[in-house]
Amino acid sequence: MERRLSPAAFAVSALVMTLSLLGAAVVAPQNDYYRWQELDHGTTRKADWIYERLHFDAEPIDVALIGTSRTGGGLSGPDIEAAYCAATGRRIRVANLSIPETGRNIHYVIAKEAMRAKRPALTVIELNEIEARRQHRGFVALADVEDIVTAPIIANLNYFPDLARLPGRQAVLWFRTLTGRGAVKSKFDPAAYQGHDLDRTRALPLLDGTVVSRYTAAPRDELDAGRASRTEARAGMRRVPSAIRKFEHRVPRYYLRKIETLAAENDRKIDYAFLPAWGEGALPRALTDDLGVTAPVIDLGGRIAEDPGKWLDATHVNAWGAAELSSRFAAELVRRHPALGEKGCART
Amino acid sequence: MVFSAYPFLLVFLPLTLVGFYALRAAGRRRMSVNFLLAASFVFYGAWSLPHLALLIASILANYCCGRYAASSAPKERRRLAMLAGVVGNLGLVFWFKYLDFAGSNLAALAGADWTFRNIVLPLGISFFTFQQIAYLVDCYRTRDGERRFRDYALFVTFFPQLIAGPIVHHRYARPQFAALASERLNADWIPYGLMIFAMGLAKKTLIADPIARAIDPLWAAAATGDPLGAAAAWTAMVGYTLQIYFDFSGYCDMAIGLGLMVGVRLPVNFNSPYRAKSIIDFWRRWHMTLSAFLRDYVYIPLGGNKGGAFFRLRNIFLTMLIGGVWHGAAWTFVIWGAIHASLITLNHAARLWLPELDRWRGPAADAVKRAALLGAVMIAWVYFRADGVSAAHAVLRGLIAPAAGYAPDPYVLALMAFGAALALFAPNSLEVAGYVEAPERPIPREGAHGARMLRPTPMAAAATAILLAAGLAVAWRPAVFIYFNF
Repeated sequence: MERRLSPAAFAVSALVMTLSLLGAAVVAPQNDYYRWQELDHGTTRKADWIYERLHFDAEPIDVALIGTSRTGGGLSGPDIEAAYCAATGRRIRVANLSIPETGRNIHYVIAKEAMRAKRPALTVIELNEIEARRQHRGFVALADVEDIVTAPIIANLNYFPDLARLPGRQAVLWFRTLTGRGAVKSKFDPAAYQGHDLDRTRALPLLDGTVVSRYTAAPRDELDAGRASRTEARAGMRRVPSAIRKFEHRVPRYYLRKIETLAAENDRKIDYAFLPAWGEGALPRALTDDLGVTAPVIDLGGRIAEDPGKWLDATHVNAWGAAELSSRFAAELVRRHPALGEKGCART
Repeated sequence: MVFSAYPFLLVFLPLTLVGFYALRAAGRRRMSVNFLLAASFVFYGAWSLPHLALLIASILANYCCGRYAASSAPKERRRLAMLAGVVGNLGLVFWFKYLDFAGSNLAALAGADWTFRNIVLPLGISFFTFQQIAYLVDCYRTRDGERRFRDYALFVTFFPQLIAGPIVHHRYARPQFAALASERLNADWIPYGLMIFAMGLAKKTLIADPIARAIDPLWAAAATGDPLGAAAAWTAMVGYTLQIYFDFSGYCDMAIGLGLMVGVRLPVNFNSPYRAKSIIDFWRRWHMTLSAFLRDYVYIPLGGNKGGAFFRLRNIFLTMLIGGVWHGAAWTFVIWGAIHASLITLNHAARLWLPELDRWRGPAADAVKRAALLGAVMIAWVYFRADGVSAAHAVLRGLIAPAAGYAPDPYVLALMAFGAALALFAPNSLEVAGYVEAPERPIPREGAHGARMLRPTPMAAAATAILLAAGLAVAWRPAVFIYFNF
């Protein structure tokens, strides 16, 4: 005799089994390298290189730069290394681990992975004039399960969407792991590796194979229009009622403190670097105070924010702007941390 | 909210079901119906509040016209009320859906520069206006309209069918909503609803959406004028043929499943159309409620079978052409409608003048007829999907071009093969479930395929859970149902 369930028993058992299956998917084994291949930015990729640099490249990392595309296109690791060498005679390895788009949660994920794999002596976190309310969309692609589940709930607009997506992500990664087929590569290929000194300040390679030169300056009216739209967006953000204003940056604060704690636990240093936008070269003290930034800030703002020849668009410097920022950054690095890396370098 | 997206699956649907059943458990049946109406407004308002206001205004206007058309007023006045409502509905659809298309074509003819590009199409407008047109005509014909505004509003806005059908007749929905407010629900419907919903979710998220993600770049390339090789063109065409099948079939299953979960049966709208042996049969299986609507409210008013074979065929052609244009305001839809109109007219003509073709039966005949039908339907889908006539022609040219430069993903090919096998050879989900649309008839113990295959057993619960879990796992990148665009 076939056993039939009552409607309520059927519904409850189906839902319990659904949740159990989703739970099982969450704990399914998966390949971390494949996970770091899951994030692209439409026309570019960076996360898989970050994982390769951290795990498959024997070169140590002395300075890890973590930020958005402003840092990615604004600070050249090789230029900083050369300037530091010229000034101190010491060889350092600078890895630009920045990833496009904003969100402190992904900065934490990258910092955590960097600390786990390379323990860089100094981690530099980007600051700019605006702090996004919505966290990085790539967090759910790159973060490990624990970080997604234990992310802050209050004021975190991404928490529930990320949590809902987690079983699917894990199921896909489990399938990829099972079939040995990552989104981009099945295994690390040294021949295809872009090298330890990946530098996107001069040119940006796109996924379709084209390379976009950054030796170009945007017209001033375009820069002004970009600044106006940014100002408008910021005006919208100010409309948070004063009663809940203190929650506005709760999530970025949470992740910045996590990064600082991580560095302290590993006996490593944290600095911040202010990367300006067109027309906004002043370090936003109120914002850094609100974010609870107490570590030193390398201020890269100032006159470059008013020099139209240095900008690719209203948010990103071009190759000439990057050369200036990298030079200033290296000078600050020399001043604040003169003993990084190791003695002996080829002064060119 | 899309049925296959997290806001619907994890927030709207659980809250609606909990609220609905909590009220019923407390003995507040009427309140539970009010709650369902409120939930339907929330469902629609989540897209656009101004469009929700438009929907409410449309409901109010049609309700008033319907009341008058069904009243004891003189026939001419009732007719006037009915016509006013019909014209108002058509005007609304024209304004939002066709004004830009008509205006830009007229402007091109006149050499003028008229643009109406700021008009945003309200979701489901074709469905809710046409459903109300049918209601008004029925009110006038039968003098029997809905008295309760709440039930009328729910008839129009009932969230499982509001955006993309099935198009429901008032006489079908009315007793069910009335019963909902006064009678106990049959709890057996809940497992059936859940099972059918899970099958629909799986069709949408596990078959239709992955195929769409694989072929969308090919259609985009065709739209930008890139030449397509044979492999790309065939993948695009066959892929879309399967995508729209599982997209619409999945939607229809989810709508029926949702209806059952709140005690309402919806009409069957999809019945394995790719298993049809003729284009007439195809349209009895694809978007069945639209076909019925076109028959009752377009074909018959045009004259139907009256006036001899020529007029009958003309009426068939015009009806199908209107059906094509109903889907969208673009030349591609006109061509798609014209292809189907021509095919169905030829099919009827063949029945009239070549009856031996109709009598040609047997396995070989079936195979030939099905292959010919599928070929014609697939070519027509190219116009339906393409972003412009030139993009459609780029795909069609690609079908006979050399197969260079594109290698389909083997996983996508395997998925397409699996989908094709399901569409062509497997019993459909409603057959599997033994679903009967007539609300007065119980869900049978014996289904269309002998013993009913779906019973609320532990195994069925496990299968439902697997489909739900798989559907939920991949629902993080939901795609809008294709028919939501119409």
